[in-house]
Amino acid sequence: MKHLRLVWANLWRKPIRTLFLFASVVFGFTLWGLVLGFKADLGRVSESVNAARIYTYPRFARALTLAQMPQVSQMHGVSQVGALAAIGGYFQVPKNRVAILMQGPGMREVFPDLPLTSQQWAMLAKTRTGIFVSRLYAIRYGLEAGSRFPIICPEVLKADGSDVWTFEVLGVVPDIPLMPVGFATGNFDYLDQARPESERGRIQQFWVLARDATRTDAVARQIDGWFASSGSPTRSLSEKALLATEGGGGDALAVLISLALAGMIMVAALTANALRHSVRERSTELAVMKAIGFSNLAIVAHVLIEAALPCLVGCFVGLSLAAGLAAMMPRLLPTSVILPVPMIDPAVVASGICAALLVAVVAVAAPAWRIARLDVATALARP
Amino acid sequence: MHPLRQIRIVGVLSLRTLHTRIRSSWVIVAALTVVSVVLLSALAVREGIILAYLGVGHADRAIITSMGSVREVGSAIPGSSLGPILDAPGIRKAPDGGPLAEAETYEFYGPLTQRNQDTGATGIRGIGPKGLQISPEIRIAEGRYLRSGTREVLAGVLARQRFAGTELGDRITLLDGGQWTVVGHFSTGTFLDGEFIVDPQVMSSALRRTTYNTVLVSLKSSESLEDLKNALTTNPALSVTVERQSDFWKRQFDNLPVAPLILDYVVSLLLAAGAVSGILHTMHSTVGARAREIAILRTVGFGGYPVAVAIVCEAMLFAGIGAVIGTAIDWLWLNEYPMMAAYGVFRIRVTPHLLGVALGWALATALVGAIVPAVQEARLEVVDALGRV
Repeated sequence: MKHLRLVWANLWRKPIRTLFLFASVVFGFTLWGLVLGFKADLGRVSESVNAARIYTYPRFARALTLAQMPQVSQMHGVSQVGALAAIGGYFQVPKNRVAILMQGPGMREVFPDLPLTSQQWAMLAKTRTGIFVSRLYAIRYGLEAGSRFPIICPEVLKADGSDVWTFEVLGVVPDIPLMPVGFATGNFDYLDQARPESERGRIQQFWVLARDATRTDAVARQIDGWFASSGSPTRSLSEKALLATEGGGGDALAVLISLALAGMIMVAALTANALRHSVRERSTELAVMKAIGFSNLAIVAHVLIEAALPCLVGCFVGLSLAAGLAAMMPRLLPTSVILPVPMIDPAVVASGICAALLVAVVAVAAPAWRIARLDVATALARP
Repeated sequence: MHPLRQIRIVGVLSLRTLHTRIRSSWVIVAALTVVSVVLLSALAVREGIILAYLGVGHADRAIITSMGSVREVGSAIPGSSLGPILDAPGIRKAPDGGPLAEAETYEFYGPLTQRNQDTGATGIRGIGPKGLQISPEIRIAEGRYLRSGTREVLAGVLARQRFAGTELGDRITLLDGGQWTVVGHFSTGTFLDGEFIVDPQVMSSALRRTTYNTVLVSLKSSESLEDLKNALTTNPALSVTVERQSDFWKRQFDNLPVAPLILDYVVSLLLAAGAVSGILHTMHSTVGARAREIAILRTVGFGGYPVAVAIVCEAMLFAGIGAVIGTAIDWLWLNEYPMMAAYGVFRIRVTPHLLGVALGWALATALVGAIVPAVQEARLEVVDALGRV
């Protein structure tokens, strides 16, 4: 307790310097929290992978149809098949790219992670133009239950030649780890019935569940082999393989992590510098402490607390700031920027605390050496 | 004494004693190094994307896409439209007398295996011999050009750096899932370097397509665009958009969902606030170390402000060094790095312009950090200055 009061008094000896130092620690940890939060969020995607799930695409554009579905479902090793079509276009301006997953037959079984209740599935089946959007998606485009959501799809024309598809938002559902940037999901029938006759029955993907998750790749190869010499060959990938491709965020994440580390090194350098100055300016005081019986260890511990206190408090404030920014991010970002939201989970907090303690220990190393060598008589003899 | 002369004398004096304070000033250099590294990393990525995208477009070429399409991927021009397009006015003549224009195919393809075993995706373009005449910047760096009608592929120099199976003679799985032989590497200095080039006819038949994505045209002169546009857009049989190639790529860049730079500026600003803390500490101790010198100067009649100016300049000097080191680190670390983005591969570029940005930030940060100790010194009474010694 005595120690703490002394530490507190020392910290406020030069208030401007302490405040700036504290600010830099806070900002260092804000950066740390945001970057590691991104990493945690992207990590959740690979954790949520369904190892038995396969995506089957047409090998050639626009050449997969519902007619192929029974053949897939009868294959050995396949337990469920669902058909999915996506409408891709833009909202208001081409920069705002959007896609809506139109759930065809069988999707409810192969995509149980889609957080729709039975009642909501029934609503979707009843309302052709209806969609459910996830929370992130709703915030990004300013949607709520009852909103109308018109999107322009130059590549998906209606039978009357129009390229505007208008949807009605039936409700907002929670986000899922598999889709870190949010999703919108609609009824395949709307797409299918509104298209020209020649386009009906055309879908973008089959989602297939393998009976045995260890044989997923074999089942994928089997599907492709089956259709290889047909009129519409396919290309199947396991969900695991596909998620390794998507994002392309690997490089960006590596750069971000280096930047967070750079920020932490700077925090360490600043803390070390501040502590060095503070110990040098107080050498007479420290000598007095030694003279009245404080051991070297006690004084070093005292300086360590002086370093660790702003670091730990700064860590908590910084991470809270990061969490606050993360919560506000979907609202702050322009509609065209589609980014996952950083997730400040316990692992991120733990890494922050470790980093704070490490910074304090590194910063104390040089002053501790100085204190240990401090000769009481010489220091006290100084005016 | 004239104030400017006073500043000069104090400046010379400061420079002569600078070496005694280098050790205590390292933290300014280190802090501004970090700020510059962070600030420039995002700016360099953006610089790379701008140079890569805007480099593709030329003002003396036109690109024809299907009406309403936003990107090359969504554009489809039926083979039957090619005749009227190629006959249109305003197109430069090739040496063989025909129009210097070519229908090109494009497909965004993945997953491809990267050299680090991750997967990635990039564009595959069908560009024929005429396309090479229209775009002479596509140079074969190694190997040879495609023989038409064969399943051969050219890899861009960046695609070669990123993707596995792209050395000369390698066979790589593309498009229809078949094997394509790499016969050459090409370089353009633009976005195309991250892509692959194949024969457009072979690509069309491999993908069983009856449409092309775009038609690229070499214009007679950059003013002939209007003639071409009038001829094609008034033809009721065609449903196309005619655009200058440079405008098209500018539009592609504008439509990129690039995270706004504001995030980078905010983060850099936060770190710069940290740097201010380092500068404050250091300049306070600098003033302490020079107390005797400052007291003597003040006693012999020097004003407070020349000393203040010298303090600010010293902080700026060290901050500037930090900015140069930070830029150099980014240059060594990131420059020319083939970055994989969701829409292809491009080079990160650290340009001289960015050094200027880093210096600007560093000097501004130093000014903010040094101004408090400097003004305190300037306001100090002569008696107090002497009292500190």
